[in-house]
Amino acid sequence: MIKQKAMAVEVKDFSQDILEKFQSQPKPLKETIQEPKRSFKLKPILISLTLVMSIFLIVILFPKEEQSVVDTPLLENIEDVVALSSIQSTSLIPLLESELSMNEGILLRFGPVERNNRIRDEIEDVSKYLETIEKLYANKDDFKVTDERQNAQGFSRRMRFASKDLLNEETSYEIRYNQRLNQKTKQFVIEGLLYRGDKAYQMTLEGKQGEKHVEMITKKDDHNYIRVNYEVDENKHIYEVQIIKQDHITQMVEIELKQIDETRYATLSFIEGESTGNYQFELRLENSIKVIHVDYEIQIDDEVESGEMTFRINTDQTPPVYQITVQPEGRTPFIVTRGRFQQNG
Amino acid sequence: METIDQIIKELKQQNYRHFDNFYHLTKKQVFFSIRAIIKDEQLSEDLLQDTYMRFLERIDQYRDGANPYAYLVTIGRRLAIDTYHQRKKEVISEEIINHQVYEEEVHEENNDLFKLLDNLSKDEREVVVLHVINDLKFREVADIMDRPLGTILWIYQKAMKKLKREVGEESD
Repeated sequence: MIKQKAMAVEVKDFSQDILEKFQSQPKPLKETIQEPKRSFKLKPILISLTLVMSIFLIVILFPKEEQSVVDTPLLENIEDVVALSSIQSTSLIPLLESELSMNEGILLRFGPVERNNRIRDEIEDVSKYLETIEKLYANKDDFKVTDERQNAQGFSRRMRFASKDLLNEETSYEIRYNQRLNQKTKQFVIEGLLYRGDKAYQMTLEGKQGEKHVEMITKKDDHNYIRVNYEVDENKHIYEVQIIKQDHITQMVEIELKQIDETRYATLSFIEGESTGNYQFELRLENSIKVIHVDYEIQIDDEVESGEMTFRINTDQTPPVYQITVQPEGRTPFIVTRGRFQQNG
Repeated sequence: METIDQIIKELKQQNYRHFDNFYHLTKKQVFFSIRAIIKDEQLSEDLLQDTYMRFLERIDQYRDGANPYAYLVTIGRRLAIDTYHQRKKEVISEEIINHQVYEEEVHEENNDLFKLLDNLSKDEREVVVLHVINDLKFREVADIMDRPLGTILWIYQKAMKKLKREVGEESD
C-alpha cells in the first residue's frame, strides 16, 4: 500500500531548471601542470641540504612524544569493560584454534531452503556468543576485579577477575601486563598475557585516559585473533567483536547493552559473515530457573522472519546442553539442541 | 529508449540531451529519501534540485556499474541531513525567541502518505522509504545509512509493526 501511494505522488519536473542552472554555472578551468624540464641547479641542492639539517635539528631538539611507564592503574573505572572484553575474547578463541580454513566455518543455507533449517544454522552462530551473554546476566557488573602491582615474568601489574555463568559456575581470569601512557595525548597501551585456566593468550589494549573507548586484541597468533572495540554511546554500551582468521574478518558482530529500569537488554547483530540475524536477549525466570529469552529477526531471501526463542540449560546431560525452543511468528514451534560452552575449554 | 547507464555515459561526456529522462527515472527515489528526513515539502524540492546539481558537478566521480539510484540517494540524503541539523538549530532558536512551535508544511495531495510516514521515527521513515519505496536491498540501505544490517532489519520490523497498527493489514 505504501508503494502504491508513493507511486501516486507527483514529483514536480525540475529537469529544465536544473540543467539551465548547471549550464549557466561558471565551469572550473582544468589545471594543466607542465612538468618542469630537468636541469642541474645548485639552489635546490642547497635547499635539500638545509632541509635535512633542519629535520636533524628538530629530532635532536624535540624528541618523540613522551611515553612513560606509570605506576597507577590506567584501567581505573573501566575494569569491567576489560573483564567483559576478555570474557568475550577467550570464549571465541577456540574458534581460531580449530584447523578449519576460514571458509569452513558455519556455511549457511541460502536459496529456497526450509526456513527452519536456516534458523538452525543461525542458532549455531548465535551459540558462540552465549557464554558472554550468560556471564553478562549472571554477574551483573561485578566481575570482582582486582588490579595490583607485581614484579614477575617481566610484567609490572596483575589484574584478576572472575565470572559466573547461569549455573553459578565460576571461571577465573588473570591478565599480567605492562602499561605505557603518552602524557601529552593521554593515550595508553597495555600489553601482556591473558590467562584463562591453563591457557595464555597475548593481548594488547589501547585507549585514552578518561574516555570509555578501548580496543582489545587477543591473539592466538599474528594472523588469528579476536578484536573487541568498546565504546559508550548515549548510555548504550557497544561492543564490536571481530573474529580474524588468517588475516581476514570471518565474522563481525555488534553487542549492544542497555539497561531500562531494572532490566538489562543485550542485542546481538551480525554485521559481517554468513549470518544476518538480530537478537535481543533478556533474562527471565521460569519456575525459579534462569532462562534466556530472545526476540529474533533473521533475513531470509530478502524477507525478515521474526519470532522468539527460549534458551534453557539442560543439566540432565553431562556436560549440560542448551535446549532451545524456537517459536517463529505464525508458524509451528520447534526444538533445537546445541552444545554449551565448556568452562575452561 | 536509452537505459539509465547509457544516459549516465552521455552525461559524463557532457551530452545532456537525455537528462530529462534521467531525472524522470530517478526523481521519486531521490525525493522520497530527502522527504524522509526533511518534513517540509518545499524544502525537499529545493534539495532535490541541489542533489542533481551536485550529481552533475561531480559526475566524473561516478563509478561505472554502480547503482545510480543508491548513488543519487546518498547525495540527497547527505544534503538533507546537513539541512536537517542546520534547520533544527534555527527552529530551536526561533522557538526560544518567539515561543512558537514550528509547523510543517505539507502539500495536501501528498498528505496521506506523508501523514502515515510521519508516524515513524526519522530512522524508521528512512528505512521504509529506501527499502519499500526505493526498492533498495537491506544491505544497500545499511550502506547508505552507515548502520549495521541487523540494526536496519530491526528498525524495519519495528516500522512495519507501527504501520500495520496504523492502517491495518493493508500496509503489507
